[in-house]
Amino acid sequence: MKILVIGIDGAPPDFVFKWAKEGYLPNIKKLMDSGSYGRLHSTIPPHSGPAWSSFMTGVNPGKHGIYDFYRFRQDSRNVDGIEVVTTADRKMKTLWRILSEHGKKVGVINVPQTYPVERVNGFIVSGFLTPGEHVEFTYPKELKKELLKRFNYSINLSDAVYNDAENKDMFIKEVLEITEKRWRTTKYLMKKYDWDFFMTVFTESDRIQHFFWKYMDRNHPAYKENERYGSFIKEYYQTLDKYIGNIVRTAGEDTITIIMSDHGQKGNYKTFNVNDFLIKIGMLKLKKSKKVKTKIISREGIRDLMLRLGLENIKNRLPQKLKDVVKRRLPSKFIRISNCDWERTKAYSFGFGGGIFINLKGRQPYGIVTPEEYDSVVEQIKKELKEVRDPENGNPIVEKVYRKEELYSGPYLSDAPDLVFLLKNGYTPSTYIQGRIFSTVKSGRSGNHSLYGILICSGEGINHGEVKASIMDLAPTILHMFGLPIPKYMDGRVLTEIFKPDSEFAKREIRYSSYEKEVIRGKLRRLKAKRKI
Amino acid sequence: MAKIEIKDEIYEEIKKRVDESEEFSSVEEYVNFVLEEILKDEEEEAEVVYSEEEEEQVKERLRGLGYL
Repeated sequence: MKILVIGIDGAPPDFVFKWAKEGYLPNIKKLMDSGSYGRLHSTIPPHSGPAWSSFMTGVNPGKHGIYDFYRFRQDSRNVDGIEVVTTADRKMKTLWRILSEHGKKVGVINVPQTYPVERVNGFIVSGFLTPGEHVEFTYPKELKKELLKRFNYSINLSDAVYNDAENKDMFIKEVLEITEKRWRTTKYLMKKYDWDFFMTVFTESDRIQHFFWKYMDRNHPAYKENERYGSFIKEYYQTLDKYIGNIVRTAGEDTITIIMSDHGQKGNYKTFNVNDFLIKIGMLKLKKSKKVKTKIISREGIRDLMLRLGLENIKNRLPQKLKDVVKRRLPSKFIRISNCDWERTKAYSFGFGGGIFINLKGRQPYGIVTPEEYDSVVEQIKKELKEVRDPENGNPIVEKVYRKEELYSGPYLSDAPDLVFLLKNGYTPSTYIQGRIFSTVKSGRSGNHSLYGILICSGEGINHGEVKASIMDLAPTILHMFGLPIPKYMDGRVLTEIFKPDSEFAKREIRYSSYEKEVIRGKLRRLKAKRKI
Repeated sequence: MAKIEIKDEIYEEIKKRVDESEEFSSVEEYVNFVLEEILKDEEEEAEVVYSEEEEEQVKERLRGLGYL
């Protein structure tokens, strides 16, 4: 038996299952009709950073230590305080590492956050957060040269696309090209190597959903009627469906196929500017000289102004050098080591999910909140958050607020934001300092992550029916299907309900192993990093 | 083999872990494992981090996507 996992970054169940049932995605429908499918609960917040790490380790972020694509440290090695995370920051073993140790042959393509590449019993082609094709992005090393020569392989969309995200035609062209390359590479490597476990991820689904949502969603405040752009997300899934059909056929019989996503996607109508909220309630103080006084001189402000003047595409015609100069000179609107008045700041928000960190004495180098005050500061912010209302309609915008210990557990709990929250539909947190608590989304990201992704599992021994699962359940379920013991520390469970009662999977006893050595190694790595031992 | 003394409560705590674990058969083995791991150099692959320029490249991409 072999296991094939196809990841579709950000695939939203409401749309994918609907399009499949309507006949637009025949290959995905075939897998749904023969197998188990349902919504896959992501991490909270639903963000690729923690979610992919929870997928590949089977644990919550408190154990693997990844809460975002980057972290902010007052004593950072970097001037801006921001450090991008690498494979070395993930403190628990990946599924492919465990499988390798048990002699299984693995192949892994384009899973976000897999750079630098790990050594495995097989191969890895690293994904998002890899700086570019000039670095060693494959294991074994020699594979890189082959992929570049044979497929002109690309890890990421070009920076031009990211910088000119409003240039939708270029966006579409590149997205389709890179997806085709990924598919061809996947097919080629599936044949080149022997494998027991194979995984490939299509990440461009997430990118187009972020930037094309407003053309598909008539309720979006920036909705624009445009036939081509409006149908592009669906058309992209139709293209993916063809590739998926082909990959599943290439994998051959005796393969269990799992299609999954790290989170879903929904409309991003208004942003809730968390740091502006913290400024308003007196928790965050900026240094006066660095205060962003007008909304015009910031990057976002300029983008809004150009949009209003109908000059949205003018920047595409400016020489790159001029753009770089302008970009460098515009003031940053994020929390930086230099722009906060740390001596008077009790809390700040940082990161994609808008999580709030208490500026705690003894933990943060510039911390001022004493451990005795901590609880009351946390509770006060929690209370204020629950009371935030959209001034336009008077409705509360916060769905739920969590203290970190309600969501996470493990040795890296202390790295988590102290407060994490989910917003009601249509609202997205932002850590931009905008000078106002709410901003309507006019340009840029019109779609944002939602809590549930997709899960489809099909193959010999798999039931037909609905399944409700967490992203942490996949690693233990895959280990069990291979007949391997599951590390006791894993937080996910084996999805026994997807197994046919007479299948080997159902009859086989679920075995656990202690992995005490791995836990010790993790703790020691952390102490070594802090130079305490 | 050299002998060292450890506090009774630490011994008891570790013994509990050894009893629950399939990987260790004695407290001695557990303690030796911990100390060997401390002395061991970190694996080469865990040491690789971004160069300044590379990290900036990744950040620029994150900014473009609205992730940073």
